[in-house]
Amino acid sequence: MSQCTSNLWSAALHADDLARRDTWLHRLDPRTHVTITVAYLLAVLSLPLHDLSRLILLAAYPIWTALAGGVPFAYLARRVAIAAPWIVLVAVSWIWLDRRPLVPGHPWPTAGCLAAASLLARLALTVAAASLLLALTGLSGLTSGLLGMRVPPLCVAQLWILHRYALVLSDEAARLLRARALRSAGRRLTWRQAGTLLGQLCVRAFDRAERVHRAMEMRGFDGHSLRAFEICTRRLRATDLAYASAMILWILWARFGDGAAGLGRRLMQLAP
Amino acid sequence: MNAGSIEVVAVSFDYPDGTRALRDVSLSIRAGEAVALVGPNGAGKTTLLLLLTGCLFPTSGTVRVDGMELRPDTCTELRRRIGFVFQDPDDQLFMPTVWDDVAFGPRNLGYGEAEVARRVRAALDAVGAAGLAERPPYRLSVGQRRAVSLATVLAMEPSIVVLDEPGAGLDPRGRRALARILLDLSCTRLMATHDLDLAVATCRRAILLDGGTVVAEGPLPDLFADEALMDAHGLERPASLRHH
Ligand SMILES: Nc1ncnc2c1ncn2[C@@H]1O[C@H](COP(=O)(O)OP(=O)(O)O)[C@@H](O)[C@H]1O
Ligand SMILES: [Mg+2]
Repeated sequence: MSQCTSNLWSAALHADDLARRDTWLHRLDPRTHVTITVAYLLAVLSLPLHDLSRLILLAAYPIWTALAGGVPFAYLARRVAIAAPWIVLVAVSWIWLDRRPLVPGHPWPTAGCLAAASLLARLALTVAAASLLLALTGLSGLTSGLLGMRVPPLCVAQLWILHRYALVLSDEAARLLRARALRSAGRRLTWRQAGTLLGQLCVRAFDRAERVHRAMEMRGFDGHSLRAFEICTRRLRATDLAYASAMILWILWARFGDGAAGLGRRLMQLAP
Repeated sequence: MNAGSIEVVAVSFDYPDGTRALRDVSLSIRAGEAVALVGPNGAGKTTLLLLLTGCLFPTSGTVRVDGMELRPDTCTELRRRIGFVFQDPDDQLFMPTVWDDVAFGPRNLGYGEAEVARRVRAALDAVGAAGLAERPPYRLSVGQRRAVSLATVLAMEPSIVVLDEPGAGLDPRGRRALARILLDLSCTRLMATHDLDLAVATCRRAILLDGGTVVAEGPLPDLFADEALMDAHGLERPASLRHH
């Protein structure tokens, strides 16, 4: 039983394990990673919906960072998969709503398809970038970095509690599914059972969250101050500045430059 | 050293769904005393501990800590003096490393890093977990996690430590180690348990709770030698007292 719980924990906290690694990327200041990630998210989210080629170019960032930081792609894939259902819903509705043909005379693919694909790609890239940030800094690195960048403590505390509750929820879900699996004799999960499990999950996660909150409160946590967290006051080193500037220049180039068009032209040349 | 006394006067408690968990409970614990709160499942032990730590407030009656009544407006101050070790260590441990977890409380109390480090080291030493400081808590064994949970509370240097089922899930060696740690503490200790051997090993007095009321109380191990009493409340006499 305890073995099983600790496995759940370790699965849930994978990011903190990855953050313990010692690559040159991990040795950079958390603030550097925060800055680059924010620039990247702005670049991806500000792209016009139909600009797929620039989006493809921007995918180089998570690939490069994962390779350099030794972050397994499976970890990123899992995180993206967790967030996927919501966006798929939106994407499908987009396909439904926008059925104008993309190429005149051909009914398929529609403009809605392109928008949906772009939306999914955006989701994958933003979630991957955020997960990479967590994998490179760890939660405590991230909080100390954000506090060091003068982000209001209340916001950082909210983020921290949100993350903590997400862990509680996934932990509880895994326990429930395992308990069911052990007694289901291999039968498939029915919709009705899934409904019951979901209800149970809410109740149990709420109870557990309350106990966790109580435990934090008992140890002086008031939800406002973050005295328990180190605040990053180190001075940024030259390597931090150099890496941040290089990455931000690249992001600007990928977002606004004609690199994507060039890439597109070369792809067109390759095509027969 | 006279901080750390608890007084419960005619306390009743109803859960919001109407379950009456405690009725007319009175007891008092002197500073520095080690007391076991025993009773079968559902007796109301956990509820009583939650009332003593200001996590819940009585429906009627009063709880006093060091002579001061525990109320919503005084509980922040009083909680600094009371440490609560939860039944499930996973509810208690949440920081990425053992060190950070133990430091969480003292940092919240506003101590400087030097004092925080001193307290963390002392607390980890007290529970024999000094070697675990850099480990992530979720990778420890149950016994280790329980020891670290206790350390997170000791680092706040409370005058009262309250423990809920501290022996649950421990093997005999783990229980002996825990008993030794608890014996060495000088603060007031109150532990809820149905493990009577652990109670005998660590406490001089026991309070027997059943159906939400105090049914007996007395010095250990004599109280547990009363076979009729133990049987009546679904408890088994500790192995250490069974001679025949
Ligand atoms: N959150 C709750 N809501 C309603 N009833 C509860 C709740 N928690 C415990 N109880 C009830 O209160 C009684 C005492 O429970 P508890 O204090 O947990 O006992 P113990 O710790 O001795 O096993 C039990 O009858 C239990 O069912
Ligand atoms: Mg209990």
